[in-house]
Amino acid sequence: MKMLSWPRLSTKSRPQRDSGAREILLQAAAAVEARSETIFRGRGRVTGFPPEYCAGLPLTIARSRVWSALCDNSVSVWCALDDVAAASLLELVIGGPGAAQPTALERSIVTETVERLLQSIGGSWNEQHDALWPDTQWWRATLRISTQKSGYADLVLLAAAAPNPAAPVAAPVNAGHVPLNVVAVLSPVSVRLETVLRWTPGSVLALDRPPDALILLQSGRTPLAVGRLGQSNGRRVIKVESIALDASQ
Amino acid sequence: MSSGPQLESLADVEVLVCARLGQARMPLNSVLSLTEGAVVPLDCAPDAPAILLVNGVGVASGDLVLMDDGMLAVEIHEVSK
Repeated sequence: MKMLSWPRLSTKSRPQRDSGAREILLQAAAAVEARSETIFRGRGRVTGFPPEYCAGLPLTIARSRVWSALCDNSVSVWCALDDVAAASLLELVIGGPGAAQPTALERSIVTETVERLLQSIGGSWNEQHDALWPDTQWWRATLRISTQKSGYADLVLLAAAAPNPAAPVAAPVNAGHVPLNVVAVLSPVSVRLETVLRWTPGSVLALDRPPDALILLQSGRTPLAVGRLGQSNGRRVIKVESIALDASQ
Repeated sequence: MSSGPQLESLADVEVLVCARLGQARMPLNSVLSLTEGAVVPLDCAPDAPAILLVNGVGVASGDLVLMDDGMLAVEIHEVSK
């Protein structure tokens, strides 16, 4: 059995998504390559390029002829041949260029050639004249059909890839241990500057607040909570009565 | 050449004075889990002086005392130079 060896196009690692679809394209390309010698009677060969993950369809898809089949009983595989590739494929088959505007006969030659190649993949292939493309990402494998004399024609195999796995949600920074300075203050009183300037040891500033006045706990200028003054275990304490956010509601 | 405003002219300016009773250094987790009834220990003894902040700046400190009318006051012991 002939083994495929894929040209190494890049050393850059690629994201591995939906390897099922990718594997099906690999197998499909291998099947086409294996069958190509028979189909072209030794005058042409097929080189498969490794499947690539792509976010969208090829730009040439709008001017391509398209075939599709359900492969492996679950994965839709599509084959696209754009008008340039169709002309090249025709030239490759008939040994010379076709008409500027492909004739019906030329179109049928191209159809026959493509469908023979696709039959080697298996599945029931049908040309789609008004293809409804799933809005998804794709695996794409290019099959390059070439001869020594002519140029080449690229058949593009497409298989819908699984949606991108959801981007991992970045775990929030664990800042729970970060310390905050929390200050306990009595609500301010308004005092004339003149009074402040005359403060000396022994001066008394009336706060006009009862001993059980609410004390504000704040960090920087941000109020956190309010509570009452008390003492416990030889320390001044604030017993929280409400959270500042709640109090503002 | 004109000089700036005289200090006397600013005598009537009102400033906000608040008494800082103490502070605590708390992990964010503890702050976020504060609930009604929680007790936050401050970093000072019950009779520690209060710091008087004028527009946020500490300018004096003194004892927290009760006036004859039952209201709180600060008896200043030290004034920042």
